[in-house]
Amino acid sequence: MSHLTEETLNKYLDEVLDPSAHLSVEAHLASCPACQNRFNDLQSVFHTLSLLDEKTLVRDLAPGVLARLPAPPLPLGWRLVLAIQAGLAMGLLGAIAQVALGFLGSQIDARLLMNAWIDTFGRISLRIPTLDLHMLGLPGYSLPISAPASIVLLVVVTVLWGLGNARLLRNGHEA
Amino acid sequence: MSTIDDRDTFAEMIYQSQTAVYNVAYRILGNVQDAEDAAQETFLRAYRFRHTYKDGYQSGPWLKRITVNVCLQRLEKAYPTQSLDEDWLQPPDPHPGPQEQTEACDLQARIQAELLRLPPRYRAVIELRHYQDLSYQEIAAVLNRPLSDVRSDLFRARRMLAQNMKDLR
Ligand SMILES: [Zn+2]
Repeated sequence: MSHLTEETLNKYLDEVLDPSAHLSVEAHLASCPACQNRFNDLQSVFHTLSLLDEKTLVRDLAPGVLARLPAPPLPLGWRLVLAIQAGLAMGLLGAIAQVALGFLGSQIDARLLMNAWIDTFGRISLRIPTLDLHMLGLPGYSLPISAPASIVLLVVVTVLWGLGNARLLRNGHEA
Repeated sequence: MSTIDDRDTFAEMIYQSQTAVYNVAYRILGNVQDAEDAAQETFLRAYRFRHTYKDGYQSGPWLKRITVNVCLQRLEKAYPTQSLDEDWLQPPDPHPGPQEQTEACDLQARIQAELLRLPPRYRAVIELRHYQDLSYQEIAAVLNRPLSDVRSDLFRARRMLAQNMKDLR
């Protein structure tokens, strides 16, 4: 009868042999001191490994882990608020720009200004293309909306801006 | 959507399993600082791959499997020119010197030292089989390696341990 292989001994200890193979290993071990010795060696490894105790963790790892987590995505409601806020802010910026450009356009002739500058600095023959604000088709002072409406718009944008940024800041802080 | 998306749930998961995760890392890496770092990295990786966690199952086994791979990757990074297999050369000499001979009586330290004498891949299979109680197939899945390799690694690791720990009996 041939001796038990290393693989068979391991599988026997891992209890993964089918029942008949398991029984035949037991029978062999009972009658073969050489294999019984090898079996004892291996079994003692199982036993020794099981003696290793769990170590105590002295530091709480949670704060360090949580601090390094990426910021969670904002809930849909907040993302909507941020989108509306951004849209309104762009609209307001546009309105302000329109007023400002209209004012400039009606008060100053930009071309005159540029020509004067060129004369002053050595009569450069190079003509710098100048911006004629009227050519852009910008209106004068008038806002497309009434004054009370623009104030309401300003307040709404400000409130949304404040809310949105407060939420974003809080989100960043959590992350 | 995994329940881990909720931070409080995830924090609770850390509190419950950090000691177990730390112990896995300690058995494979052998020192407190590395084990703590690996445990933290495990949780961060778990959060990133939280979609692989099946709700309703215990998170402990899932986390401990991730830990083994985190540790192997750390060893690979720390010793890039070395193989993690059989021809691994353990950098610090794990054999106890004259000074440490008395400490060798400390069975705990001795078992830990013997684990560290094993090549990292062997440590991993010993960890997964003996401390996490996984089947050969499950170990192969965790390590993403062929079943036959896992089996032969495990059997060789036990043979090495049997030879090195003869005096413990
Ligand atoms: Zn025999």
